[in-house]
Amino acid sequence: MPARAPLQVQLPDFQGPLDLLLHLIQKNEMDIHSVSIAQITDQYLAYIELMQELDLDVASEYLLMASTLLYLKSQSVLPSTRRRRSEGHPDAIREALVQQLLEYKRVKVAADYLESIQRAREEVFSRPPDPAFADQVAREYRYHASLADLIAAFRQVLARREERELLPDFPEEIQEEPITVEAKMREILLELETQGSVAFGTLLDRFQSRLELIATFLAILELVRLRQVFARQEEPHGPITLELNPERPDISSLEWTSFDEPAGVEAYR
Amino acid sequence: MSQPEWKRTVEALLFAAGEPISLVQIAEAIEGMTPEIAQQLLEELQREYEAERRGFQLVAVQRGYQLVTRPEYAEAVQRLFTKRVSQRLSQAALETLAIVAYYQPVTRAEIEEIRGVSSESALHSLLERRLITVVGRKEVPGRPLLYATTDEFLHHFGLEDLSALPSLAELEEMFARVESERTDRCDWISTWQRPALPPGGRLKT
Repeated sequence: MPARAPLQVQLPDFQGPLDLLLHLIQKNEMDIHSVSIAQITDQYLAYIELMQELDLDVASEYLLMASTLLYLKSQSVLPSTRRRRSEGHPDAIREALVQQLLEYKRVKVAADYLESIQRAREEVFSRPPDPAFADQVAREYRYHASLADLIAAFRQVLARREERELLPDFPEEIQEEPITVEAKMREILLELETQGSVAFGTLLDRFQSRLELIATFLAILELVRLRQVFARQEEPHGPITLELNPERPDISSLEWTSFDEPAGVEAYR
Repeated sequence: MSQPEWKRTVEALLFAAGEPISLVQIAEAIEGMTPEIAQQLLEELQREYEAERRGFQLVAVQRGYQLVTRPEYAEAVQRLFTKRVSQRLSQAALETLAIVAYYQPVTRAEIEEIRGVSSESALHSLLERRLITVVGRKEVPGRPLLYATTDEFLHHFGLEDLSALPSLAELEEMFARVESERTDRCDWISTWQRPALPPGGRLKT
C-alpha cells in the first residue's frame, strides 16, 4: 500500500499579526476605521489554530495580538467600568490598534514600491558609457567590503595556510617583540601612507605564524572601524584592497578597542 | 543640420552615453539645439521605438533619458552576461528598509513597534548589504542604536537622493488608484518616473 503523502496546505506567508489582520480586513472588505473586532477575532483565531495544526511556528506576537483581540471582543459586549480616557479603556486600545494598522499599511505600500523598483532594475539593462570616457563617469561606484566579506577573505587566507604548515605560535626562540594589534595597526598605516594601497591577501600572506595573522586581521578590522582605512572590493567575493581614508579622523582622539591588555585574569574571576 | 539629422544625433548621444543624459546635456552637445527641441525629439524617438517594437526602449529617469532593453528580453540578455548576484530582498527586509527610509533615524524598537514583529534578522541582513547603517544612539534609557539608509541604498534603488522617494501620502494615493484600476502591480512603477538603471555587467568570454 503506497504511503499517504502529507496534506500540502499553502498558507500565505504573513509577516506578523498586523499583516494577518490587514489581510482579513481586506478579505472581509471592511474599512479599517470601522472594523468589526468581533468578526475579525474569530477569523484571526481560526488562522492561528490552523497554523498550530500544521505545526508551524507561531510567533509570540501572534498570540499577544490574539489576547488583545479577545479582550476587545469581550469588552464590546460588556459595559466598561473604566473611565473613558484611561489607557486601559477598550476604546483607547482599539483606537491604538487601528492607528497601528494604518501605519503598517502605509509601510507595506512603501515596501511594495521599493520592491517594484527592485524588479524593474532586474529586468532591464543599459550600456555603461563608452570606455573612452571612463574617467569622466560621474559616479564610479566601488563596493565597500562588509565585515562578512572581510571574514570570508580571512578564512580563505587561513585555508591557504593550512595547506602549508604554519609555524607554531610560540617558537622556541624568544620573540624580539611581542606581537600586539596596536603595533600591527601602526605598521599597516605606515605601509598605506607609503604605498597608497595594499591588497588584503598580499598583506596577510607575508606572515608566517597564526598569531601574527590574527593580530594583523584584528588590526585591519579596527582600522576600518575607526574609519582610518577603507576596504574596497570591486565585486562581491572579489579581491579586497585596503586604502587610507583621505578624510580620516584624528586617530588619537578616537576610542580604541583594547585588545592587548591582560583581560584574561579579570574576565575569569 | 536638418531635423531628421538632429533626431539621429540624439540617438547617437543616447547610445554612447549609456547612462542617463539630460535635456541640457543634449542641447549642449548639438549646435543650435535647445532643451525644448530635444524633449520633442526624444518623445518622437520613444514613439518610434514603441511602434517598431524595438528590442530596446527609451525611458525617462530622474537624471534624464536612457536607452534600456525591454523587460521582455531580459532572459536572453541575462544569458549573455556572467551571473548577476541576486540582489532580491525578503519581504521582511523590504518592510524594515521602508521604515528606515521614511522614518530615519529610527531604533530597532521603533521598527518593531510599527511592524508588530521582531525585525532583528531583517536589520542584520540590511546591515550586511550596507543598505542601512548605524548613525548614533537615541538619548533615552538603554541608549539604543539609531539606523539610517546609506548611499548604497540610493544606488541600489537608482535614486538621486532621499527626496527622490515619493512621500507616503503620495504612495498611498497611487496605490489606491492602482488597486481601483486593477492594474498589474509590477506596472505601477511606470506611472511614476523610473529611477536610473544600472549598466549590464561583465560580458561572458
